[in-house]
Amino acid sequence: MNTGLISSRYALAFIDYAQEGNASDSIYLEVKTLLKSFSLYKELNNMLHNPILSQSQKHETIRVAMGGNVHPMFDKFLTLILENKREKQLQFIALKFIELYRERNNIFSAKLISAVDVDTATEQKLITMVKNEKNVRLELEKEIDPSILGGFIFEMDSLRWDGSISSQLRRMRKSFADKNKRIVS
Amino acid sequence: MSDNIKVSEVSEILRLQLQGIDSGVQFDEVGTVLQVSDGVARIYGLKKAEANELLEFENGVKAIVMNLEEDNVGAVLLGPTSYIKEGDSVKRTKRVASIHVGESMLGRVINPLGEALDGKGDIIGELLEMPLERKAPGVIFRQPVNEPLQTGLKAIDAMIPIGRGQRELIIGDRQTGKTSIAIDTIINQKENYEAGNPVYCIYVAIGQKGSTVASILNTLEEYGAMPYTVIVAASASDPAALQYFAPFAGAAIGEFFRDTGRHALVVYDDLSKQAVAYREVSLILRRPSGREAYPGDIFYLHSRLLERAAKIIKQQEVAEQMNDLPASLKGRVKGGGSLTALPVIETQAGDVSAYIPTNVISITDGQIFLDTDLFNQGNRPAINVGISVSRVGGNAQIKPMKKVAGTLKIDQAQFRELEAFTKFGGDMDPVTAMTINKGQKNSRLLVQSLHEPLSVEKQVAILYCGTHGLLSDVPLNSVPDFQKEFLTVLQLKHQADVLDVIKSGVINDEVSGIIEDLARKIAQEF
Ligand SMILES: Nc1ncnc2c1ncn2[C@@H]1O[C@H](COP(=O)(O)OP(=O)(O)OP(=O)(O)O)[C@@H](O)[C@H]1O
Ligand SMILES: [Mg+2]
Repeated sequence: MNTGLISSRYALAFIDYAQEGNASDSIYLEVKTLLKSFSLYKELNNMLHNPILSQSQKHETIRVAMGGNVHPMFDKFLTLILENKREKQLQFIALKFIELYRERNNIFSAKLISAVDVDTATEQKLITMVKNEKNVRLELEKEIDPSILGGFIFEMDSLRWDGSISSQLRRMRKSFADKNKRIVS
Repeated sequence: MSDNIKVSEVSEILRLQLQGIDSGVQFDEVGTVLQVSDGVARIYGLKKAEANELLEFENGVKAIVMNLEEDNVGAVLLGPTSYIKEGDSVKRTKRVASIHVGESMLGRVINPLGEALDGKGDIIGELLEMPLERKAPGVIFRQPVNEPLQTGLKAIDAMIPIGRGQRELIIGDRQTGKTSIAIDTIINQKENYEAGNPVYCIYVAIGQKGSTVASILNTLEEYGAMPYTVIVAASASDPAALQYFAPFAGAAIGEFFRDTGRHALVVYDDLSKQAVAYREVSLILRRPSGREAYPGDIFYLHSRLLERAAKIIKQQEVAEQMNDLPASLKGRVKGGGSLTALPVIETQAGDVSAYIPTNVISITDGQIFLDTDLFNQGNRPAINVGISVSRVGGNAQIKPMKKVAGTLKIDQAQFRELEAFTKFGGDMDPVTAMTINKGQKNSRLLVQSLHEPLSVEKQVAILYCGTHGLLSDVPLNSVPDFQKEFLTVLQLKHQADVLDVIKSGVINDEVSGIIEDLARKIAQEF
């Protein structure tokens, strides 16, 4: 069963529909909120997989997960998904939607994780470094995570540059452990 | 992503990479786990991941890519499901699943990833990376099977001979002695090991209890078979994916020996359990299922595994060109090696026409069928001669064995048929009586207890007595004693003029004369 195809089709239909209604920008933000809820509350996905809950109960829960006010077009789209019993794919559809939206609007998303807050100058340097094509919009998300000890982790799309101290320590430990193992390849 | 924003090609980053700012740090391709259940994770991202690629989670758990879908990657976990949560990040290793193989693996118990399970520390020494999945050598890199692989079991070496590079199935119900045949075969390779011409053995235990594997290890240690043996274990409590990959790991280890010009024997115990593990994985990955709910490619699963058993051509120049050679083997290839496979299949109530048994029967070069009734009657190993065959091994038998045991298989099958008729009672003509007498003696001769493999020359000598009717006056119950005494005397007094001659591939009137005289003399004692 190719579930991948299902979510791409829904996402494509949804973004076309949203663009026709000139609402894709605000819906993009709402989808991002929804995805945040998905990653914060594992129960949300379980709830969608639950066969006992009614479709209207699920619909209501999704609305709540999105912070209460949902764009009418998004709401309509949710109704369609629930009617077709594809709510299990909602997370995949949302991810696909984000991907399509970014592709169409030349948005480039990146994430910077550092142990301490970075100053604006460094941030600006990073932005110009990545963004050397004029029509690219950069969405930079910043996160402070003291557990990486120092350095920074920079993520773009599905690539990750891990320059954190904690990872360097981990790599060092591993290379010590592997020292007496000789691997020829 | 459209062409103008290909992340990895942003020039600044390329420049950084060219400068090699910090060679330790590089761009990793990462994805996020969206769902995880029953040993399967669905991962978002990892758009460039390839089938069979090894993935690594942050906590070190590994996974293998099985499904590539439009919006996610399905990967089977090689560690406990509970170690992985939704939201975890996972990174590509850009390597296909592989195992590091080397000489130092001998004597060890490992899991399908090559990690030690026996508590004797890491596997150290020179190790080569061998891919778990690898295409079998093509036709031109092979050579016909022509060298025997002695199991040390009279019934098999005489009637269902196995050659090096062959795939012979051991099939039967539960508790019919399948594992014992494989273990005895491994123990019998000790002679070759001591002679400096080893057949390396790999015993792959799939879905067995940990205690069973431990007792097999004990047996092999006790009989001195571990120095040339590796045990690969994925026990019943391990993730299904690990059980599914175990035979591939065994094959990869075997290929290491095979392609470096040596001989190896791999036992897959058993492929029924591997098929069940594969079914489990496939169903969770939502692949369409077919007969008995097995996925459609289950035949391909077993055929591509068993095709890897092969005898490699002797010509060095040709062997070096072998297809799909892993990079680590380049420059180390030697011709003339072999990998023999003994897959095991468990049947239900003797039903060989079930899905998996028919599949594997048709893939292999023959089968050794074990029968519950024979086992219970005390005919052990409980080989049903009538439906057991070896399609290629006959070419590999040594001449004396061929000569002595040539008709044994047919004789025994005829005897079984006659025996069935005489159960109705009634008089017998002398010819029938003689056939039956000989048949009974021969069946008794073929009984062999556990872990007592016989060298081929002794097998020939004792089978000579049976097939030439030298036992006709020995009472049935005394046959084992006769055999014992006969072989003892032979070893003490006729090592040079009988056993060594047979071993060198000759049986002549002089040798058979000595055997006949000796047999008559001993027969009188009973
Ligand atoms: N040649 C033999 N002589 C005497 N006993 C034997 C012989 N072969 C096997 N047995 C006994 O039969 C029992 C079953 O043997 P074994 O474990 O090899 O069977 P199996 O078919 O592999 O069983 P399972 O289905 O549990 O894997 C063991 O207890 C073993 O000791
Ligand atoms: Mg067994």
